[in-house]
Amino acid sequence: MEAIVDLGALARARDGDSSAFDALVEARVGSMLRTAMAITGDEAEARDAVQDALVAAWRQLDSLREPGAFDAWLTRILVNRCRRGLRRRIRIRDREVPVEVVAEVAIAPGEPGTDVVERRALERAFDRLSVDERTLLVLHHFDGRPLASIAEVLGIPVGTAKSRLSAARRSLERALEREAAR
Amino acid sequence: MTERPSDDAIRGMLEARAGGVGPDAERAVLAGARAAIGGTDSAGTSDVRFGLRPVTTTRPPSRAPLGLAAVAVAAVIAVAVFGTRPVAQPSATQAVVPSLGVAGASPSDRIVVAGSVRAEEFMHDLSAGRLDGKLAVIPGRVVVASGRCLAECTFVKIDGLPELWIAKGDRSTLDLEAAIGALTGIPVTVLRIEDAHAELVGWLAAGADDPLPANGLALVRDTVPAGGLVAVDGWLHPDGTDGVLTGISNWSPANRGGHDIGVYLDESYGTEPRYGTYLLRNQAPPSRLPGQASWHVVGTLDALTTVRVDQPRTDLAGPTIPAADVTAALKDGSLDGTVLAIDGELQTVIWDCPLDARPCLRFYVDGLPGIAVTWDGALQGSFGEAGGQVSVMEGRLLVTPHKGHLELLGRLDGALDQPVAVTDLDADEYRAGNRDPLGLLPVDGWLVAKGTMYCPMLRPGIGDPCSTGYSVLSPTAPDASGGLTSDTNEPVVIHRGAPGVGQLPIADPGPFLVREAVVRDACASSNGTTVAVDCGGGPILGWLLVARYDPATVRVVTFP
Repeated sequence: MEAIVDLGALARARDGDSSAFDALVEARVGSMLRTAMAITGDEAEARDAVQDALVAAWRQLDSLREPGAFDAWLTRILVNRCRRGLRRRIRIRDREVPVEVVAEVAIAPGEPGTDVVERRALERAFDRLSVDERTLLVLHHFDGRPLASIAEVLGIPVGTAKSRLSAARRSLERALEREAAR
Repeated sequence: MTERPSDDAIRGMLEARAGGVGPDAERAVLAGARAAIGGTDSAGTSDVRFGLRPVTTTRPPSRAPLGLAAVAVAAVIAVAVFGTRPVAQPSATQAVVPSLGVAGASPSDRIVVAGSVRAEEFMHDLSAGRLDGKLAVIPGRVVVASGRCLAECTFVKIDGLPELWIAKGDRSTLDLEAAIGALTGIPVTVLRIEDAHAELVGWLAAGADDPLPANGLALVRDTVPAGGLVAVDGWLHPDGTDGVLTGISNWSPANRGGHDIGVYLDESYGTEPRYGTYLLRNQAPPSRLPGQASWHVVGTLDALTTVRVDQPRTDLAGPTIPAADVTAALKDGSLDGTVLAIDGELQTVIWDCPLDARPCLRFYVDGLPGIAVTWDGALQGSFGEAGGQVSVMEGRLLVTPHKGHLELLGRLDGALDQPVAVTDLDADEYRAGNRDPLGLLPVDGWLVAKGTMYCPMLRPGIGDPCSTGYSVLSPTAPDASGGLTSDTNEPVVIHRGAPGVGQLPIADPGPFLVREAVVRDACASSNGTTVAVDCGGGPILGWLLVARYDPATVRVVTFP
């Protein structure tokens, strides 16, 4: 979610110009959806999270102190919405990502290091992780964010982001071992 | 794939996962957001734009009418305060019902199925629906917990799993309380999981450590209570609606031995003999005669159908203090402002009210006689009726000594050394989740308070003016000027005299103890920049911060 921030549009949006805000987020909603989908694994959950995040961002624009940090700020709101949505599943079970959907994803020949079976196992292992662990892995491996950017999004020191990312990787490895033992 | 997953493999998996977004998703989400903000049409037409941005923030919509929800919660709180809330649970010091080969030293040694998962993994898999259709076997102390429903709603809770609300099935509340009251030791609870929810199957009365052999059933039939469960190994010879559980594979009516046990079962077991570990329920009536049992097969216990959960952690880190020392310290005030944990029962005792000499009830904790337990600074409970003691609350009670009394902070919901993050606090979600209104939740984060600290709890019939200040719990440290650095802050009000919370302005790191409360909190703004003074909107649920604590210094009161 790293589109160029139109600082002029952002300033107008902060002044209440809805068209300016619309233009700002329209370019980002696609990547927001993909990030949310990667974290939650559920399209309905991802849609809700992005929609909630957009509404929250509009209402909280005043709290954005660094206009240049708009993307990190928006991502932070999004991952928080994903986190809340997943926690809510404790009581309201939403639809899981059907295995068939994953299986239907075309695998290009020579795609690095995985096949459908391994990918399923890896995804099941990923689903075993906590929301925070998933978020870290998505921000790093999917969004391609460096540690400094992850730290900015999550509002934590860079060193903490690094250690948590390592811990998330270890958790994924353990979960994968558990999947293999099933 | 048992080796370490490569970066490429993880990226490939995530890209495939993210690729499941439908083609119309972007447009639908934008249209939905525009409609939610207001002043737009929800059709998502290209010329629709966001409406005017509101000046003040708004709260998420309630899932129940606000007034009704507030009244309901206030009623629950009032009932709890005034001492008639029925709560029943077993003693933590009782022993397991004896069974063949049972009585392991630790519940964690119990073996029902191979392998086990941690409580956190169990909750994660449960919420994701991955355990649907399975049985779960969990050792741990159990309690009856009242939810917040307009009709009767009683749940079962397992100590150390605060997020797990177990439906009681078709049992009546009285039957449930009786069954729990009859449990001994650390019970082993069996749950059935459907649609990411748990329903109580029952408690293992025998075979919890090692399944009984089929011919052992005859030996325990008098010790397994009606409704009690037993895990049994053996050959099941079904014939459709009933069958025989035996130790031999070639059983037939012609060669039956002396240790066959007739069992009832449903048609799903077919007619082929199968060896396995079976979960049986004794459905004999409570008034049964000695030697009478009626065994029903309610499931199979194997790695495919059953998940075994390690006993959830409930231990408290930190030093202990004898009850006698607490009594002495109350006199000199040396413990004032600290947080004490008491595994015990809050009871009431008839007392002469100081004002009008009518009998009224006062709270005390069993084991600390003569020490009044206060609630929100008040000494007395409610007008009582003659008849003696009434248990009003049981569990891990957190109190703080204050001027010779013990001020009740609440009942611990969760683990003190595992505080939740501020970003995981969601009052609306908690309200929907039937949480214990007196449950204390440890929360990590920063307390930032600038304005008036105290906003009194709303009591029935009392309409206190709302303060104009606000306080928030923030996941990140405020900046040098006290400004908030996160957009995900939770408004809180601070309990009067909350231990460990200093004078204004406050910018202190936690962890803190909070509980859900009815507060007049219409004053708070979520972004911390605008304080809207509008208290006419009625009571609002929020968080009451009752103490700051150090997990390592909470003292556990021990009793001789």
